[in-house]
Amino acid sequence: MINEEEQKEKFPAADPHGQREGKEEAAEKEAAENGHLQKPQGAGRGEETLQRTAGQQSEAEAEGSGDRSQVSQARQPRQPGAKAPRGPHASLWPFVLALAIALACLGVVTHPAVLVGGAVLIVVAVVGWGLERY
Amino acid sequence: MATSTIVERPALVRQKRFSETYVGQWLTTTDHKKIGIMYMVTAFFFFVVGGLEALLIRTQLALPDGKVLDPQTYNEIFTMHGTTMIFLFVMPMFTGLGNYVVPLMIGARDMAFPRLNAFGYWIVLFGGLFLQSSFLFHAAPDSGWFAYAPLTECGVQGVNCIPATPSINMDFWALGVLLLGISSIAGALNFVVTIFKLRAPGMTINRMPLFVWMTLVTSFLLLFALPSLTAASGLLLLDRHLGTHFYQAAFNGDPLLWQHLFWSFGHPEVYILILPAFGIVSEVLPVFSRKPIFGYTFVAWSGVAIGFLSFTVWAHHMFAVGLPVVAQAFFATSTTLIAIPTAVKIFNWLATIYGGKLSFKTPMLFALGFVAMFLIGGLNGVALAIVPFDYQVTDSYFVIAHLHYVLFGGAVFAIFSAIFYWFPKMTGKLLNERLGQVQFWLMLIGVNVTFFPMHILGLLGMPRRIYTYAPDLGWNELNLLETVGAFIIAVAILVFLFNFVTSLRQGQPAGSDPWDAFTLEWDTASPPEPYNFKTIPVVRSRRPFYDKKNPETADWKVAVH
Repeated sequence: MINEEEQKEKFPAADPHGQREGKEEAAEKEAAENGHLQKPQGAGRGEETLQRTAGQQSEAEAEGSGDRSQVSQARQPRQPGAKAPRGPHASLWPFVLALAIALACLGVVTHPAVLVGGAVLIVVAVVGWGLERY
Repeated sequence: MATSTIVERPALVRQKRFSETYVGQWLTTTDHKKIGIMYMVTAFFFFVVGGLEALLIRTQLALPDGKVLDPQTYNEIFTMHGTTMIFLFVMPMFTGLGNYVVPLMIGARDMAFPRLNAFGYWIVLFGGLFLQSSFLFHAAPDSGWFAYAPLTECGVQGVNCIPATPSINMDFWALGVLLLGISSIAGALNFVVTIFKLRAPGMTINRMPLFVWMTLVTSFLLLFALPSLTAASGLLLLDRHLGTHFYQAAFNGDPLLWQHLFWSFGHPEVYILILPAFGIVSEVLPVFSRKPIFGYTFVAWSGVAIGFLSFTVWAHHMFAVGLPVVAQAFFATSTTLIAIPTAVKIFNWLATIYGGKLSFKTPMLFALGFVAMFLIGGLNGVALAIVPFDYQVTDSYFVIAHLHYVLFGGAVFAIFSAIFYWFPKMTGKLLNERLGQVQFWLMLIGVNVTFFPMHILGLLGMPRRIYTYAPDLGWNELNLLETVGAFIIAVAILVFLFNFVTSLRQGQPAGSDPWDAFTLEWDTASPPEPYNFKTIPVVRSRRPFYDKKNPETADWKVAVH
């Protein structure tokens, strides 16, 4: 773990002028409120993105990537109790709705029964998508 | 002695949800990276389909009096070739690249509307299958990719189509295009909201990567241009099935209405197909020249200028229909005008590589190939803007040469540049460099052998879409040469497929940043974690990852951004 002074020297603070731009700060705050920005507790600004631990370094070296930064954020060890951010939930309904619309179009050019089947499936998909709980 | 009984409790094994199975993961995914990959794989599949159709066309035309295909099948093949390449290859491929890369480049965790994003992909897949399924019904669209009414009004049945029942060939086209339009609108909307709302702190509009800029402009073009095509297709369907006469002169309709509606979509469409390519080249050239892009602001805003101007040029496709002279002058001028922002980009790219430490890796080769080929396509496009010249070569092979230099020499070269550039990020493996270079040179030779002679054939009077030709017209050798060129391109694509499969299995590990690149997508693992960034990065300049790797010479220290 590099100490604070060393880190300041190696990775200058995010704001070179010693004060944060109000706009950025507001954007960051907004992102945090929306759950887009998650800082480990106790980490200073920029620290969590720029810190490099010995473990990480050896991991990156082991990859033999020739990557000069070797500070991939996704590879950082998790803080105890910290949860990895979650991506959006999976859903089958977009697939079903697209299939239904294509089926309805096929019905237009082939047989009305296929059109009706497609239309029913569209209704089912729209309702299913709307009622899906996460 | 005490005895004890061990009671075995049944292990608590949770049943796997469908979305956790391998198939289910792909069918239900809303992760922009997986969706991006699905877009790209699907688009490449349709590229192969469209390519096979191109080979059939070239085989038919290789020799005079060709009989490889019958005339009806030939019409279907060239219609589906154009439709497939434009709507099912280039557009979805750029959407796929954008899906994968844009959120990473702007420091976002996903697209703004992940389910809408998934829906957009599935509708492309099913729309594409719907269009291609027309072959199974022996009813593939057969009136050319721009489906001129009133040719498309009746199919094979009769002149006025009333009360004849039209064949379903063009129904497949109109409905298929509507389906693909839904996808494009969904995708464009998603990109606009994502780019405006989900950028990392500090990433102002003027710090966005140029690929993001071009994706944004393209998305606006889609949102404003597609309604015109949707309206045109809707009216066509009404004419065909409900007895209206929007496009039939015999019933006081106007056939030119179709052309106006179609081309007011169709010309912005050309820029929809090429602006993301500009974005890719603007990312690749600086990295492999070890310099920041020259004239960032000009490159970005010239893209915006092209976007605006692209809505003012549509009637240059219609000079030969007898437009008023004032209209011809206007559209000739606006078409020439659009060359200015395009030239701005080209000069900025040249200035970027000038004095740089050039590294001729495959992505760079394709990007340079793009600049050269697109320049030829742009210059003969300016020639076509000159009305008297256009009269001479309209609907001839000269036009085919122009559009293929733009779309194949331009868009396809940029796509391969992007694939070689971002493949390591997507898979963690490098594509084989030697095979990549072989592919590049084969493609460069193939493209020029195939498409350059088309200029001459056009000037000699060979019409586009001609089924066959007599042996005494002086077209024989050039047509044979073009066919040879087409097969050289096919070999290049086979080399790529071999490279893709072998590299995926046993490619060299790429690490997270194999090109020593500048932008945020390289600041993630390869492939990135599902959530992209554990912490959202803070951006201070146009090259945030460069800054991070080179704190002493960070852009925000030495340059005004």
